Amino acid sequence: MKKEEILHLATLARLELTEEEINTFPNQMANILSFVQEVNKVDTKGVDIRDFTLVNVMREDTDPFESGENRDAILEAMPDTQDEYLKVQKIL
Amino acid sequence: MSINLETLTITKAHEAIKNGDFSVRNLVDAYLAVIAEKNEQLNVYLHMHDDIDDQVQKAQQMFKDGTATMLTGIPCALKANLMRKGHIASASSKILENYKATYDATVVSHLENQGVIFLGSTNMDEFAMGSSTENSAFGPTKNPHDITRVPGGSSGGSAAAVAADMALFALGTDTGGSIRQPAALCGLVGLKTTYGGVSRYGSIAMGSSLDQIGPFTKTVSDTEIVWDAIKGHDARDMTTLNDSVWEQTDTKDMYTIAVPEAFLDGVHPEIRKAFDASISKLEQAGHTVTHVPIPALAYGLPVYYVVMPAEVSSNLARYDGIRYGNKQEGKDLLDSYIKTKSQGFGAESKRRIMLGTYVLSAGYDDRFYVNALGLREKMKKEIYALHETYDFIATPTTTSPAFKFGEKTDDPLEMYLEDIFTVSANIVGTPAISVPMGTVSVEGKDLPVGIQFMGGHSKDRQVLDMAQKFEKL
Repeated sequence: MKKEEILHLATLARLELTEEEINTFPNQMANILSFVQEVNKVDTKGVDIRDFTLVNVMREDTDPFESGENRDAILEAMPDTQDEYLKVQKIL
Repeated sequence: MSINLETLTITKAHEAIKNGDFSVRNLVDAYLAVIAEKNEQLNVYLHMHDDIDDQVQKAQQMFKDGTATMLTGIPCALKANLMRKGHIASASSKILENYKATYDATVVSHLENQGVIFLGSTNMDEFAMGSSTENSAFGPTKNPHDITRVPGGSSGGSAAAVAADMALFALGTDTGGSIRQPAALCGLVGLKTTYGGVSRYGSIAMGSSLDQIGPFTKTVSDTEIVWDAIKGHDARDMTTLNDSVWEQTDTKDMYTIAVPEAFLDGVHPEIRKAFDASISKLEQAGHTVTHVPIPALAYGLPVYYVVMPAEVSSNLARYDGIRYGNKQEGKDLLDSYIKTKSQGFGAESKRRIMLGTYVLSAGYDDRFYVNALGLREKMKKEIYALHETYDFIATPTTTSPAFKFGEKTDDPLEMYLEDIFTVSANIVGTPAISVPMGTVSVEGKDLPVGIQFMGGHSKDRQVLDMAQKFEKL
């Protein structure tokens, strides 16, 4: 993998890399990707991935918590608040 | 009051408290004394919980009331990715360094109802990504058997806590081997239950289709006690299995065991010796051991390193510094996201987020992700079919005993190979346990190693029975 590819991938993932990471990641990622290439070599014909053994699980729609039970704890965990509102930077 | 913690089990502690040999307070104090003595050196606990006295009082009351269970008053260590309301759950990441859980994990509620004493939260690889705890933002944990070596990971702190008598049992999480591998390297029993056996509600997610919570204990019967307390259907985790699956016990006197001979190449010669000796003992005891090629096992790691990073890149996207966690303010919202993530995540987290982003990118997803899912189904079919004939697949838990700090940090791929024997059980969702199979001598130190038994889907009780039979040999 080229450095430019790593930097592009980092941008897509909303990450900034350190100098060291920029130098070590290309080789490391290339090794890992070449290792997992194995998944592209095995014949999986006849295996339909939509034919999962998974099923939809439904339940009655109820209130999972008493209203307001966790309100203070959640507010307290927020990095930035104003008058009991979550505060974010403007997006427009 | 002196209590021999080294040989203590949950059952013995329960009897002793009931008989008045010692109190819950005595027991907890004994563990706290060891923690005070060893924690600085071993770096096992990141945070002690500040309500231990209240918990002790509650447990003692339960003994007085006659409502005590086997787990009442038993001191427990919690991996730092498991939430207990009001206590820091950092997942050993800088991004959650000061994050206090806003609710209890289901496993925590179950244990709290039984009066378990939560001592504190233990160190781990950041967001459970690693096999040595060297990816923790708060320094590695040391193996109590040799402090120049890793305890394994990612649940290394939980394993070391039990091995060093800093808790009587501990909870960890296992996504690709993160309970079984440290259990093996620290000389403990470690169980990865059937996927859906234990609720994941309140565990900080890494790979949601793979993660399971499970216990570390010194004996198989202790593991069974904890597993019975934490397992079961949970309306808050829709992937949990219906409780009816646990009604069938189907334990047997003698079991059939498959050993994938060709898959064991490259195992450390001393581990190979210990494994062969264990297999002989099983045969002598009357179990049937057959050498069977199981090609599906070889796909485990490649499938894992596509599926897991894909899920990691989705799960870790939530740490954006907006609703909780550490925030780094940037010039605009996007810049804040980037700064928050870049300064909050360690190198391994970044690597896996990027790998996940890569395998899910348009143009690559068909090549990697879709193929990996197909292969995962193929593995399931083959391994489920194998279990029609054989009760268990037995392998060593790890290829080598505990390695030294720094030995594998430069080459992530080599670290990933640590999971080679454990990862398939997560891929196909079956239960697997690591049980101690003695020690091997390396550079003058006796290092513990483990044997793994993988069982059929939802046959956890059978897996525990096999492990118990092996333990007694």
